[in-house]
Amino acid sequence: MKTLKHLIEQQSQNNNSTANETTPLDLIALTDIVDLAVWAGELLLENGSESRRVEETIRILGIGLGCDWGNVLISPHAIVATHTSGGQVRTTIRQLKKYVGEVNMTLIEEISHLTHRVEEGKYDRFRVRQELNRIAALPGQYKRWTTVLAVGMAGSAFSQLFGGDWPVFLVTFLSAAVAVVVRQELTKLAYNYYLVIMTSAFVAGGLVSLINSVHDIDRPDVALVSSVLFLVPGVPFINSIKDMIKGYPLVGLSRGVTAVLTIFAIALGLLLAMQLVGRNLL
Amino acid sequence: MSLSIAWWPLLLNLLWAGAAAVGVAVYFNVPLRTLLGCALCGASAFTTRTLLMDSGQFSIELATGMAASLVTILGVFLGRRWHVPAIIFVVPGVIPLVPGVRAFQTMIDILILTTDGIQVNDTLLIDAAVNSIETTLIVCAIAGGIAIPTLLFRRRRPMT
Repeated sequence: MKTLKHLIEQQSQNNNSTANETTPLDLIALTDIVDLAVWAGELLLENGSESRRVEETIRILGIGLGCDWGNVLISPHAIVATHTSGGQVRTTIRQLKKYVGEVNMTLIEEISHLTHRVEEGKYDRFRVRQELNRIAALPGQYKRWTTVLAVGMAGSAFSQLFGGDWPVFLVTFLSAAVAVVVRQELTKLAYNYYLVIMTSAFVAGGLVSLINSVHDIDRPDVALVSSVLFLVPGVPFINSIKDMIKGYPLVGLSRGVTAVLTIFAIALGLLLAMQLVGRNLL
Repeated sequence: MSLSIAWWPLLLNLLWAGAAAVGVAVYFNVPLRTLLGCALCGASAFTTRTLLMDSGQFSIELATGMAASLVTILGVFLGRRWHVPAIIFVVPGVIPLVPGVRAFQTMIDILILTTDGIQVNDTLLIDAAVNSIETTLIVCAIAGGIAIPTLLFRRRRPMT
């Protein structure tokens, strides 16, 4: 028995249809399109996009590739989509690989472009699959040390905004840069998200406390807070409220709870570091 | 409202807020060609909030919401110019407004409260309550400020 994948590959080989296939689609094409659409949705949802954008992307991809309509259900850890074409219906559930993720703006931009092209009728589904494969495997825009330096710079810029002086600037730069390396390494080892956050905050807080106990700095509280600000889940916080405003209260609540737990993990890490050194800096 | 503005602190404020936004933007892996726009958005967001609060007429929540709205409108224009979604400029721009310090303070107050023993330290309790309420309100103000322009200029698909 031929599997679906074989059938799709066969169609891809003798593909001489135009970009927009005439309705009604056959069942293989419909299955393929639903799969592509939820894949794009999954990539968006895992990389820091709000629910409204995810839903519209899934629907527009489906309609642009020849379906009549698409119904989308977004839940905190899975996407369900049903696309219809000429009386045929295909439903698929796609589970998310991670429920809290890094934010990747380049990916969001690429999928936005892809959606525009599909809407204009320039891409067929084989091209969309190629593009999604490329986007999913896209390397980061910046080299690793650039990211580390940038996070250090962001931390020390915050310390300046909060009224720190130049020693505080240097200490913040150092501890934020070390903490981001710790976070990246632990994330690579696939530890639990909250554990990673807590350990990074612990390292940053411990570094500031140690430096402060060796040589007193002017505003240790500013250094402490600024060096862990990159761990604050700003995007989940904002997306949580945005989702609730725009009619996805369930996803919004789940994101909000995640964000509050993350803040709690950071505070726990900081407190642990301060208690080990024995001085409450805040 | 007096019009005398201290220019030098304002300039420094712009510079550091822009630097913070660029750092956040690199961490969020934005496309390289949009980094300048992110810096612009971050600088304008933080400075707008500082100016509005310094004028003494606005609370921090209101000032934050207005700054977020301004950045969203700016981001939409920049996004149309560079053909990218506005969210790329808006999110790094408003991250410096997120009340991280207040949020930590709340959690640390709660943790210290439980370790302090039977005598409940009521100033700590009040601090924790006020900080948590303010954190929630400011986050709501940011998200509301982002959402309001997109809801007002309604289009077939979301602008941000």
